[in-house]
Amino acid sequence: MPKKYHISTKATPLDMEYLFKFRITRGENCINCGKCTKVCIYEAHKRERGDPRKMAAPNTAVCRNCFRCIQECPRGALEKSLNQDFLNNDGSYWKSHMLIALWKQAEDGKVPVSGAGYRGPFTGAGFDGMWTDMSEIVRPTRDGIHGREYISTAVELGRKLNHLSFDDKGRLLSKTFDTVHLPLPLVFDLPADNLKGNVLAALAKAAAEIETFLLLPADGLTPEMEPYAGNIVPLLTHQDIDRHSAFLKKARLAALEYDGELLNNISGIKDKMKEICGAPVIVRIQAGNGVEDAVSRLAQRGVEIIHIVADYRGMEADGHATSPPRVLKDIIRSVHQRLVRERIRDEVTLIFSGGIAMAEHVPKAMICGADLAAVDLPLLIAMGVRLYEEPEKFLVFPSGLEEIPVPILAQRVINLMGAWHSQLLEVMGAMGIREARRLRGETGRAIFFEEVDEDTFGKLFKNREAVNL
Amino acid sequence: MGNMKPIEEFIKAAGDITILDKPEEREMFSHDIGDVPDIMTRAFFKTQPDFVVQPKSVDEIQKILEFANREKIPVIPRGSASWGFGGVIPTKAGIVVDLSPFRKILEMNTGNKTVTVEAGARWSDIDLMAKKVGLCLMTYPSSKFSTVAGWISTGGYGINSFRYGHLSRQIVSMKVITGAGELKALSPSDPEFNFFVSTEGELGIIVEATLKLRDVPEASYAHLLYFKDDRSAFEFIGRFLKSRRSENLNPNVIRFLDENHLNDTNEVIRAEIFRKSAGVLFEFGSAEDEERFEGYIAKSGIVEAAPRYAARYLWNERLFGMKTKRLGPTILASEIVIPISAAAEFIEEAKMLGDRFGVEICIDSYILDEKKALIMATFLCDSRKKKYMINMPLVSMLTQKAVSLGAEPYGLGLWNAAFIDALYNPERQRALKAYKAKMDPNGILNPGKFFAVDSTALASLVFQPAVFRFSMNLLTLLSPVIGKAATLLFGKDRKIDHLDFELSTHACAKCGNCLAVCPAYLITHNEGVTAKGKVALAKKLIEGKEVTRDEAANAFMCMHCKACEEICQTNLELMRFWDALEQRLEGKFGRPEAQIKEFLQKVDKSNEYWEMVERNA
Repeated sequence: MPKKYHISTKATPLDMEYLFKFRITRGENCINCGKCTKVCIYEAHKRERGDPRKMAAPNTAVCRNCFRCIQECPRGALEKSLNQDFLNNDGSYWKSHMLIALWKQAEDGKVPVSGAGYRGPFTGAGFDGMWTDMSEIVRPTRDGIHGREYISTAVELGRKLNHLSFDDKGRLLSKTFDTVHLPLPLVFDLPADNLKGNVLAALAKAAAEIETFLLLPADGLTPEMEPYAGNIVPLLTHQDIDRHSAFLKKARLAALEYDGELLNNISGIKDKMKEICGAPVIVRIQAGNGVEDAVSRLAQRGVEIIHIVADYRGMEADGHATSPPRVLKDIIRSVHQRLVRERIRDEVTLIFSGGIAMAEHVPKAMICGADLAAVDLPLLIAMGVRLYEEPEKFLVFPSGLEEIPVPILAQRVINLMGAWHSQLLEVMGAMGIREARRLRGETGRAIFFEEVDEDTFGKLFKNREAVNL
Repeated sequence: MGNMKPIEEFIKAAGDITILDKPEEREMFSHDIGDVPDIMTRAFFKTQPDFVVQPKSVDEIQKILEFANREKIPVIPRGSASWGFGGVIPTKAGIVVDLSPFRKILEMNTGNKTVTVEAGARWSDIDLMAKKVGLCLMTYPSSKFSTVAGWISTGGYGINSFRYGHLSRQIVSMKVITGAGELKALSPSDPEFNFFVSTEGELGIIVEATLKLRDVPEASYAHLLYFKDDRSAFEFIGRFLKSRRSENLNPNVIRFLDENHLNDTNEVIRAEIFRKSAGVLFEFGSAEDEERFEGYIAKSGIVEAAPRYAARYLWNERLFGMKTKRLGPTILASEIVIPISAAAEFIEEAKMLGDRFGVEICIDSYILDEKKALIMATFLCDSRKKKYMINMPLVSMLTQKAVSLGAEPYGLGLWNAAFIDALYNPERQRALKAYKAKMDPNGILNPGKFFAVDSTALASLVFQPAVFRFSMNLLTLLSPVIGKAATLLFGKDRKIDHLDFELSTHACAKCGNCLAVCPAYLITHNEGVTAKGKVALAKKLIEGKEVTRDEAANAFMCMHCKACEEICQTNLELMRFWDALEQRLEGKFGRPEAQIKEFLQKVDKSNEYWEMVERNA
């Protein structure tokens, strides 16, 4: 059995206040009896340091909504309300609770519980409308994490042949391709432009430590990123290949931005790349109308890895004029199906990104047909960045972020990935799947709410609704 | 006792009774809620006790008496000291027996509807416990945080007395230890019973009482009626009492409040809720009673009623009689029981007298039965001013005036001792004296009060009834001149609008409400940690008196629970006051961090504390 892949998490709290859901307020009628300090297991309530006769203001950020202090306070002096900030921060896709969950996972690599029971969402747009088949949950799912069971989360990037051919002497005839091994079906996509040096370095360091890659525009490569060169995928346009040849030489993977010209000259461009570095090449393409065609053509013309990028909310960049934009789940399924139909699915590795926000999105994307996913904004959220969708996409960086040492920021990203890895193991364990590669396209092991809804009630209600309209 | 060392002797004899003997502790037990300047008391009496004991059992109280009898040391029983006539002030030093920690509620009998309690049990606690089983007190004093034995030993009239009569009628039985140390169980049918009621602990120490309770009434219905003047209000009360039986009217309480009282209430809450005219407050316990009352009012026509919320507010304020003290900061009171027929005349005369001294007389009166009313005539003044020396005799002049109109003093204590003839006729006095000689042969129980005011030659002269009566009458006669001269010289007593740190120390009524609710007191049994004790400490600081490190540390033994502020009679802004006090003390002595920590641990470990927390939940 190969050595187990393990991500070393370590509690790394940041000294800053992050978004929190509930605001506990201590009323004037508090009698400082200290009952709350006894009943709260999260240490939200403490006595004042300076004057222990008085209660300190509640540390709301750690509250997990158990209501115990509210119930036990003999004076009814504690009040809990939904934090206005929490409500304001909610976007249509990026919900405040996601930001908080990511932040907490980055703190210590543990998976936070949501407190008073799981309240959904049980369905919704995108991945929320997808239920994985956890029929194997009968056994302890933690076995995957703690060792009694070997579950591999590894994937290979690059072309894999459908079959091998041998001559009559038993010699291998097929030409095999170089692949890149990833222990986790995840790469880092650059989450934003103009990031500070320490943030970039932390992303690269974290990628190196968990043995994955960071996609980074070649223009942004600075000398301080040099130590992590082996885990950086330089991203460039095919026109710039010569300019960045020095860096490309060191790269184990390279990425090219898609455009019409690239598609037309793909074999020439690939040859040129091979001359310089010989690393497998990723073509990065925006998920939009007709992305299936482009992917199909790229695959047929020998591109081994294609990275399809939806927008930050996991939607098509340019939707159909007549229908709402598709969500990532449907884009993945559509692209995957197309390549399956064309019998070239295994010729190519598909990476999907955009809106990969929570750990469960990774296995769900894979079930839909991705080989792996690329994660972007959660990497910044792990560092305390807040994301607003309204009135437009807007990132708020915590003040003093640039002062935080690289190892601390990197550890938080590692923690986040550690938590995601654990969750991936849990899902796979519960599904009875021991190889991450086997997840790909296994739509039979998931229930898609819209389909079930249509199958069950479509005949009954859809017509009538249409009539009423 | 001179050359004796009572404490050492006592400790040898008594074992592990809690003893308080630090100078500041003894000082705390040298006065009651009255604002009598030290100079005056010290001129007449030895008010500092030799030491204070806090017994926990009958046995311990008997040991104390045994020792005191042997050594011939005075013994002064004390409850919450919330009555201001000096009944608990030592006159010849001695041992103060603080009964307030001797306060267990022993048995609640729901079948008989009775409760048996130790002497120091507080009315408020009994009521709270009783309500849990659907019962409540029949009557209770307006200082509801005072002790059972305290009220039995003093006035005994209070809320609901109109309906249920004097407190003595609700006592099923009680246990008393006589001065000689004999434990007696008495019931109202015993001829001796009455000797121990309202006799201020001069014959024995009440240690246990069984009281009648009643079912919790369905609700409380308060009505406030306005009248154009005091006289017409009392005329109405007279008519009401006459037709009470025929109309089947059953108020729990009939309370008269004059326009000054209502006006001061407005001023305290800074709102114009009450009209500036005489008012009569009625309270009923059932909807039927209220309905009949409303029918009666409708028939009588001319009466004008205040809005219900105003009546209810006034009713709820019944336990905070001294709220207006914050306008003073001193309040002086004359309390008398007077025939209703003479009430209006007394009030008129009292106000005239007050006028001459430049003070405003406020009247608060509870109707006790068909014939009698308890009247509290109070006025605001300022104990820090020279004029206070003229204000004080006014109290006795008011009492003297009432007595001349057929009233009895409502208790004697120290300052009313000269009115003994108005309370007890010669025959009763002889009987009391004879009984006293039997029960307390050594005369150790609360000496120097009405039985024998003979502490010093001076005191015996001043408080000798005949002399006192003469001098008060003379003063009253001369009041147009003296009062006017004093008012001219020192100015009128103006009401205070805002209380600063210093004024707050004077506005404290020392009523002891805070003791009942203070968790720190519950744990430490030390009055020094209570609001009352800390305000006294602040006063000492301001006056430049010596403050010890231990006393200063007391001020920090506080949970900041705000219970004292909530319960404070005079609405003192105590939390701000504590901050200021702690700051001053910290500057002088530093912060007793280790003691605070130890205190908090002690509180946290105390079951009694958590019971208190839960009880008030």
